[in-house]
Amino acid sequence: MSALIRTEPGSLVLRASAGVSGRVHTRTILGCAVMLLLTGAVTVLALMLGSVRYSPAEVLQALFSDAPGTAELFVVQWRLPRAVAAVVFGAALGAAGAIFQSLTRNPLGSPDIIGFTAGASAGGVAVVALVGSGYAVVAGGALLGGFVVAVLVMLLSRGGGAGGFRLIIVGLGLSAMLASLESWFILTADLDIAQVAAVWGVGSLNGIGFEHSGPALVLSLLALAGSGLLGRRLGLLDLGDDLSAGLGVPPSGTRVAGVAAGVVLVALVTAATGPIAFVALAAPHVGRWIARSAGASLGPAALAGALILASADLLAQHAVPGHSLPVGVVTVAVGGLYLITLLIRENRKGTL
Amino acid sequence: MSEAATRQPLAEGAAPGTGTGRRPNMPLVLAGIGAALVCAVLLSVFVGTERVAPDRVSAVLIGTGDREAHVLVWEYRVPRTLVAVAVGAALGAAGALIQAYTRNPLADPGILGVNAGAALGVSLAVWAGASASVTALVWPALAGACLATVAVLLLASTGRGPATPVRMTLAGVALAAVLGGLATGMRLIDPQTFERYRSWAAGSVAGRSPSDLAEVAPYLLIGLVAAVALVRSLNAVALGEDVASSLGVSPRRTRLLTILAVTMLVGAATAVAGPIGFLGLMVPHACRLLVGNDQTRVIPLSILMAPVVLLLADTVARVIVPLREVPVGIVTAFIGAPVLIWLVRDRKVNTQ
Repeated sequence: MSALIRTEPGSLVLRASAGVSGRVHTRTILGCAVMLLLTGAVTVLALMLGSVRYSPAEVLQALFSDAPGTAELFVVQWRLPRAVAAVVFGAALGAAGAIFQSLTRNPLGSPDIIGFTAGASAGGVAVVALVGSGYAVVAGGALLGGFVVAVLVMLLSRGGGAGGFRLIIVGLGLSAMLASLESWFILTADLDIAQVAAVWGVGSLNGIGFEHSGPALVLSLLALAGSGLLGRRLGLLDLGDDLSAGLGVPPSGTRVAGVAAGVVLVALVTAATGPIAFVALAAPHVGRWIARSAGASLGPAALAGALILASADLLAQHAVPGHSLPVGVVTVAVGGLYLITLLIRENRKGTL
Repeated sequence: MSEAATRQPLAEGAAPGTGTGRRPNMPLVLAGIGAALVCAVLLSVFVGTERVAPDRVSAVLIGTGDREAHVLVWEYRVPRTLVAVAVGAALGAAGALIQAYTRNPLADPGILGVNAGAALGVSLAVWAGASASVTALVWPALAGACLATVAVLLLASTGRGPATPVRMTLAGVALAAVLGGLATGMRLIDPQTFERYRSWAAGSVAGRSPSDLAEVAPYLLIGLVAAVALVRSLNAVALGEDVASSLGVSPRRTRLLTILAVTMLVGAATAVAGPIGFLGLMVPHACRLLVGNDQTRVIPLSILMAPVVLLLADTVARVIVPLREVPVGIVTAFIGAPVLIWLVRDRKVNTQ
């Protein structure tokens, strides 16, 4: 099989003999490369900083060759799981956000706004407060809660039109109900359990280790790869249901697959870390902005998600000296600010 | 100002047939709500977690009766009922005011982030070492509520055209997210703050003493008086700022007074009872269905009707889970969120 790569002004065209071809804009490639480099830099920084500081050379030595035992302990066993988790989970959230925004045709249609995250969070907190905090049970509770709420929101907002306004308000209402339920679970539980549930309910990467997060990481990577296959179909859906059907891709099939992929991605992450807010909202926007790509563009969204979550976690660990905050606190505050600027920008355009 | 001019339906939120068409019988409605309030008060005094026979309670009320029942009624149920009446009136008035001023049928102190502002103020105060008593918390709550009210009104009014319901709602969500994130971060750093905060955060009228109420009574009174004084100005502003000016109503003064009243009402109510959501959303809608869109009727009626709803919700909260009280904020969220969803589904809200 021979492949041919041709350059055209502003884009690369790839042709393989098996009838496969594609066109990628140079700006997209450059943007993705930049995000990848930045994510790498943030990750190395996350491995360097902490109660014991290492130079980049020491970090690389600890990672790739034999290093003195202590550096290996700090870098590989303590800091690496968290850094890897931030990157992988961020990518999963970013991709999930892109899928949901593409399905709802709404730049605000992220899992946070439509109530999925709140459902997963309430499910998880209920399990932590009432049953126990093992990964499998919490994951089950989060998955169930998130899925039920996602279905409810979709059903209740049916017929709301393309604007998706109803979707947002319905999601908001259900989120408020679930948040109040969650606060009751926290209230009734013992203080220790309540605090575990509360930290989980904010979304945290604290104390994450490969033995706990390993399955979630592997499954997230698999789900990411799976949803990568959806990218082209989502792109067709962006053109409209009729055109998509006319080109031989039934839109209903794309929708079902998209919802399934998005739900699985968010639920995997939420079960491992708790609901991390607003990454799924912001990452697709940032990805589209940096890569100048149009439509769903899962790749840039996933890269942007990884960059955002890795940076937010770095900030959460070191912003307040002596305290390692849950990363969800940072993403909710920064993401809320981002939503505000987004609103101001949309207001200026008069589109809302 | 003629009655006909003031009965102009609001831009949004007016269901056909509730505005100018039907002439509601105001005295009848008032009498009905008054009777409902009396019933709700009695119900709140007679029903509780501890089962006390009705004849023992009535014996206490007419001055005889045994000591246990006496303590239970006068030291627990009556103060609680009074607090619920005051908080309900405040939140109902605040909801009606904010809906009338913003002409946004989805406006509610909870949805617009005013509660979150008060909660942040309280978190800051508790973190800085203030005790969780109402005296210490009322000023931080007022300051936070004021900040959030001004911020959300400013945010929604940036850009082109009038602030649409979508824009305001999203501005509220974003603001609540930022403020909530900050408050959560603070609570999680310090477990003691967390412990003191969590009982306050769910929203409850239980265990409040008459002196707590006396502490915030001045602010509540100022807010209620301002709300009643504003009815004519709000009717005029509903016709547009130019018409309002030509009718001798200063839009600027109206705005300042509205912000002041909402701040006082929400801040004081939140300082006593914690954040109670959705009451300010539901009650004005119910009132509008009964008497149309004239603020001279909606606002006083909301002040009367909201305590009824809160008292009933609180009574349900006492008995719904055997031997364990549910904070009333959870009950109001569970009644209110479906109302919100119904409002959007029933196209009562103009989305454009």
